[in-house]
Amino acid sequence: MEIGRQNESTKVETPVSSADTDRFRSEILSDAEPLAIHKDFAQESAAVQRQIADFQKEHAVQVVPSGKYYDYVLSAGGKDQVVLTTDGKPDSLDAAAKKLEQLVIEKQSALTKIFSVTFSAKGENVEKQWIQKPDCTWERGPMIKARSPQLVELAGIEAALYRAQPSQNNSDGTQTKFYFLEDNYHKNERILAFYVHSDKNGHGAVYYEPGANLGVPATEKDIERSDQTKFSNNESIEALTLHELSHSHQDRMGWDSGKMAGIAKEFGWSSFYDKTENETKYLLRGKKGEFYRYGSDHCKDKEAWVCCDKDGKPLDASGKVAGSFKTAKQFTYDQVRDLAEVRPLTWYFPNPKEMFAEGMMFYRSNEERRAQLLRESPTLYAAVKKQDNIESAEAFGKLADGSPKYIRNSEGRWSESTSASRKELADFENKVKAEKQKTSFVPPLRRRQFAYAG
Amino acid sequence: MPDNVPELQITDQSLEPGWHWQDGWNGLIPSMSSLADVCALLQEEPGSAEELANGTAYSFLAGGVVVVVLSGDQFITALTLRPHKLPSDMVPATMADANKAFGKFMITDVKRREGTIHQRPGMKVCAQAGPEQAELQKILWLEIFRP
Repeated sequence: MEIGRQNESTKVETPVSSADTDRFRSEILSDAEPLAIHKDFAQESAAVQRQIADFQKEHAVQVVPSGKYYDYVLSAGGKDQVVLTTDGKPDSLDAAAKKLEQLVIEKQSALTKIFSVTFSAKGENVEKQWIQKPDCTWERGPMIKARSPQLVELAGIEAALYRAQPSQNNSDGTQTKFYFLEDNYHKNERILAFYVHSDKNGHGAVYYEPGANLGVPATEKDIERSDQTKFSNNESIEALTLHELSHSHQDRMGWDSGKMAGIAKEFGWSSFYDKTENETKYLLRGKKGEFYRYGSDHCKDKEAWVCCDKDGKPLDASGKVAGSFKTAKQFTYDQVRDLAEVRPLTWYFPNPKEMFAEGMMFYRSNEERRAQLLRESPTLYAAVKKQDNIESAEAFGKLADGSPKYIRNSEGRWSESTSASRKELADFENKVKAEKQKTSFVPPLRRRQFAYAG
Repeated sequence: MPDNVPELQITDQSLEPGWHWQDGWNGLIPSMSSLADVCALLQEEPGSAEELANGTAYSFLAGGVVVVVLSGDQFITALTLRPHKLPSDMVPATMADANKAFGKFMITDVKRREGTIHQRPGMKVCAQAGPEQAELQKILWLEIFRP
């Protein structure tokens, strides 16, 4: 399989800021501001300002007055790029919209050519919405429609694809399709995105929920240029897409065909048979051999972390079986992260798949994030590296000694495995491990509500 | 649990006609059959044994059949079948086939990446969620257990 040619314009030139002020994603969804309109529009009427604001929100480009013209500016890949220019009149916006739609089509075609991925079209059927009934069973509701992507979304997805490849390839030989939903997949639930094993055609897909990408920086390089009080690293469209494509990786690598338990064991999870739910599930191992699980007693209850016994039964403060999640001793995300045998890197680790996907997102993002993963959770780093290498070997081939032909360098990009590239990677890892001995400031991570559904 | 919220009724009478857990699968019945019975039926020893926190999961036919035996139990607790790893006549391949073979199901979980969970007393099925027609919903795994 040929590796997509790397776009030099997205190459990391400077380290991404290490500031990590994670925040409530629900706040981002509710407070997300579309692009501010340019100050030169301040003299225009309220109607014109509204028209400009609506245009910017729909297309995620900023309209910038430039003499007699309007420049349409896309912020992506760490820079501002004028993608279009029209006459400087509000009635030029309709023509600009049509031209931007054409640019979207051209960009989609380019990505399809390189990665074989596809995208939803405006008005396309996605699936019927899922609606949960009071008895916790589910039924189908009205059809969810899709929209076409914005240029800024394609920029984020492109950046992710160069790093996530070959994970965009589905286990059935097709390639991932990206859908942009006009309504929530699960009624009344606000989530960022999903990877689904099968879309309406039975193939792997990523569903972006409404508002998930609104006002969000396209790539990790754009985080640095954004309002740092609103977005921290690993909250770009690129990062979200990397996370979801990590689930595609899991699908490709047979996690749901019996391999998950063995892999999850390597980064701190033990499987158990839950006699209440009649299914094999997972417990997070603690440093002292204890177990933790995330769950609730009923679908309408809020989920919580509890300590439990080997049968998954929640325990009370004295260590006795509590009988329910509600009456058990509950733990915060921070506490469980500290108590876990293998430290989850972020707040999002309800099960092995999500903990791994967060780790793989960091591993593939850039040098700064990869170093953070190695520094803060070396066992998770090792598990992700191992699986990434297995995928590489399967997709790109092996050397005579059985090792993968391509390895992921410290910046998260594929490079041919040579003695030089292997030494470079080893030097990077050794440097980070040595730094771990020094005191390092770890910014507190606040709870991420309504994070990726996965 | 919030007040006035009904409990999930997997034992809904409307689901009762059809397969019952005592019918088992090819003579194997959870909580009544032993690991030796499984080996005799499949004519092989387990290919692998994975330690669970509270038991062991034994794999047969290259992962096509997985049997859970809880610690201290002499009988199997659950039997999981993966259609794509088994000959086509051994287990239903789609939800349409499952509906015909076993009866009605309720959809109890849709929040999983791999598929949607359908349940009837003593059986859980994970099937592809995207396609609407049951004929197109491939079964990823099917588990039988004593409810």
